[in-house]
Amino acid sequence: MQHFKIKRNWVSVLILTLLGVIGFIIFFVKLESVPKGFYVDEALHGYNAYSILQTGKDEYGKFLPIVFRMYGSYNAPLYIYLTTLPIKIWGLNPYAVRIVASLSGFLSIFVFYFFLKNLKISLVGSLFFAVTPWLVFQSRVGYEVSLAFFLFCAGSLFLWLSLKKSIYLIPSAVFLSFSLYAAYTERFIIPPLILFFFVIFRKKILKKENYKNIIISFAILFLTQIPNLMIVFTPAFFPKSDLMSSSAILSQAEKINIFPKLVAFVLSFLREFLSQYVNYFSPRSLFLSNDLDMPEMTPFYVWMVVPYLIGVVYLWKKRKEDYSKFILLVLLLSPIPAALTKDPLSTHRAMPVVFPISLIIAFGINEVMVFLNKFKPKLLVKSLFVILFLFISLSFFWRSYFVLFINEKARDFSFGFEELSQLIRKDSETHYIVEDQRIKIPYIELAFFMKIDPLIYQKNIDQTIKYNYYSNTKFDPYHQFENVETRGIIWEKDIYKNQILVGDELSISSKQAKEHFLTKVFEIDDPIHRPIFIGYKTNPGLKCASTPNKSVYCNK
Amino acid sequence: MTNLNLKLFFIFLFANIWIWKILHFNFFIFTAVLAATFFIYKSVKEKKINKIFIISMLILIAFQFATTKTIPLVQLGDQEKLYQIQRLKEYPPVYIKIFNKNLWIPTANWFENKPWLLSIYRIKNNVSDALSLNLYFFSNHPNERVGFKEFEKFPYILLPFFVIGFLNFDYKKEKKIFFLSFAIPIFLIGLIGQSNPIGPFVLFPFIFLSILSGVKYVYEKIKVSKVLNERIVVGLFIVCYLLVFVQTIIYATL
Repeated sequence: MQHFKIKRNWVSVLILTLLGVIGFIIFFVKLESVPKGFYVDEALHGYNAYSILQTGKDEYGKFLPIVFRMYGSYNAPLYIYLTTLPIKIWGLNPYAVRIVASLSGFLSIFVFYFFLKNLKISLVGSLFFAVTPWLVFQSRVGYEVSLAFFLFCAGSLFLWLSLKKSIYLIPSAVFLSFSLYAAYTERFIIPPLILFFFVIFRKKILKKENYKNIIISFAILFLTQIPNLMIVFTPAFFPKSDLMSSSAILSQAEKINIFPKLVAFVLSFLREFLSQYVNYFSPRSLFLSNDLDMPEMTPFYVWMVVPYLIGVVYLWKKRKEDYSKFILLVLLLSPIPAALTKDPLSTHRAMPVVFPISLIIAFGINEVMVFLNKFKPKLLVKSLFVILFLFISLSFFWRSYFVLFINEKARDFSFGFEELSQLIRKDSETHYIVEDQRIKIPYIELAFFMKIDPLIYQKNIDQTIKYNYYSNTKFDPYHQFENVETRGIIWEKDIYKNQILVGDELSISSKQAKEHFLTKVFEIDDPIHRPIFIGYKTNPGLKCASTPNKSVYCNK
Repeated sequence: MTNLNLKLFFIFLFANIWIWKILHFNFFIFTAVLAATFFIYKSVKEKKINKIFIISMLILIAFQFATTKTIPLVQLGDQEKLYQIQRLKEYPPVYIKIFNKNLWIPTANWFENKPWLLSIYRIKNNVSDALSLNLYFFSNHPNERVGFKEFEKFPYILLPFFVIGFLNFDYKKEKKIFFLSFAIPIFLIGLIGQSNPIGPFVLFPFIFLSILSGVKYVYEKIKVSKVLNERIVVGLFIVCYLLVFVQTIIYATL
């Protein structure tokens, strides 16, 4: 027994060390440049964090908001507040904005490790969890989901541990409560999780000796949720309601009009919701279909479908055990918010699903390890299994993420804004119009990379927004700072001024350029040489001279 | 599992769209599906693999192969060829330095140009829809495929029963049945693809068996339950089943 313990400890230390090394490489290496480009949500989080750091106010001039107003929607605040620290240390750059997300992903793997350790199953599962494409992908992007995921995992771990020692309810309450400030998905998961946890495990948890810890944890939950409660009746609290698949449900209900309206609605809602919900457990979506933004990569590795099926069957067989009940509870609750939306598989919103699915896979891997014990020498056979599958997984991850993704998806990740900002900065005497009909929310990317002083930026924003901040959802895409404007091109007017018009290959066609005497002054391409931004210099003199019916702007 | 009710068997066998689509498509396939389904049920009931089940499954496998439009595993379409050329250029040079000499590793060629790897990618894509619960219960919504006429094979109210039946399946004792009715057909679909007007009908017997055993399991739980009234629950289930069945028929005919 003693020998077994020493051996197990040795293996635990080895796996913990490997986790640290693999985790460090996969979550932090080339973080500043991979993903190539800087996604618009990252820029929104980054610039708002910068603005808070410099002025205590967000881009709209609101002092320490409870949620952040972002292009007509609202985002959870915790990520932005935490990002102020790395920006203070490293300055305003992609690395500083992404580090909180990658650190959260990195810490999640240790939470997972301790969960497996507590369940007394093979810790090898944590190594594979650390390289899970879905987790790594979301953890290397500078927005909130990875942070919320870490808090959710940590809160769930402590909630599980509280069945043995109720004192763990307190850290669980802290983590779970803060996860509600990290991402909106958790708002739909945490309340039913806590409720059903107390219902299912009532005999174990609702004991007299636990009352003190239960009361303290609920007090923590209540006190830390006061800011959220303050805005609960404003549009800012449920900003993503437009993402719900209500139009699809109504159109499906119309097709079955032989039923009374209510019955038709209920039936089509059930079908729509269940189809989305089931999609989050389907082997196709999780292991076989390229639903992640990474080319040729599935949310979990293809080979994991086998341990997943083994794990599901195992947990079902042990369904009367507490751990099975707990994992099944988390599993069944975690896709609900994402399933209510119309996107087929939203890896962003359904991030909490990664946790229970990975636990199931870990149980499956554990069963495989038990099976491999039949072959001798055991340690060598099991090590070979782990090395082989880690190698295969990492090779395909490298191919998809570090080769194909950075080249093929750079455009989707708003690649080119850094270079464009430098061009605009250098040419400070020229006025620039950056077209915003086809280019996704360019103002925030430019503000980020041009490091616009938040005080100056806030002055150019509608000053009334901050007074009805949580209910004013109208978004005005027009922005102007320094020598840049972001808006649609007004052809009747803009070509009669000396300036540079920036768009993509479709927003300013070569025919339009020729017709209006525009001269191409620069082109910024993505890594596979597709144009992203094309800059055209206007020529008002030539345009006016060549037009028989002169525009009124020719005389101005 | 061993006391499956024959009445339930016939009710559920014909109360789904898939079996009627199969009949409409080809009478012989329909007969083979019925035979395979009945004898898989009999094999499980008698805990002994029935010879007619083996024969009918082999016939079904042959039918699946014959009626599916297959694409060679390593043959690339025009668009795929363009992608391949593009991707071969995307790889950075990879090498290991050994004693001041660079050992170049042709990663681009390995990942993008090896026929065996290309065939694995194709097999993965072929298998993906066959392992989608949405294909069988939600006419593949929300993963509808271009060029396929999707239809709801089973009413979605049966999905929980399928899951319970699948999880309750005794994979150790009935592994031969599992391999013949699920693993081998999945492997076959991986090789030949999914381009079949009535879907992967070779899996019908296994899916149906799982649904039926799930229904049986739940029914037995209700029967012994002190809280639930058997007649009310069964009555409610029948009403819901009919509603959902009508809903799926309407969607299928639109």
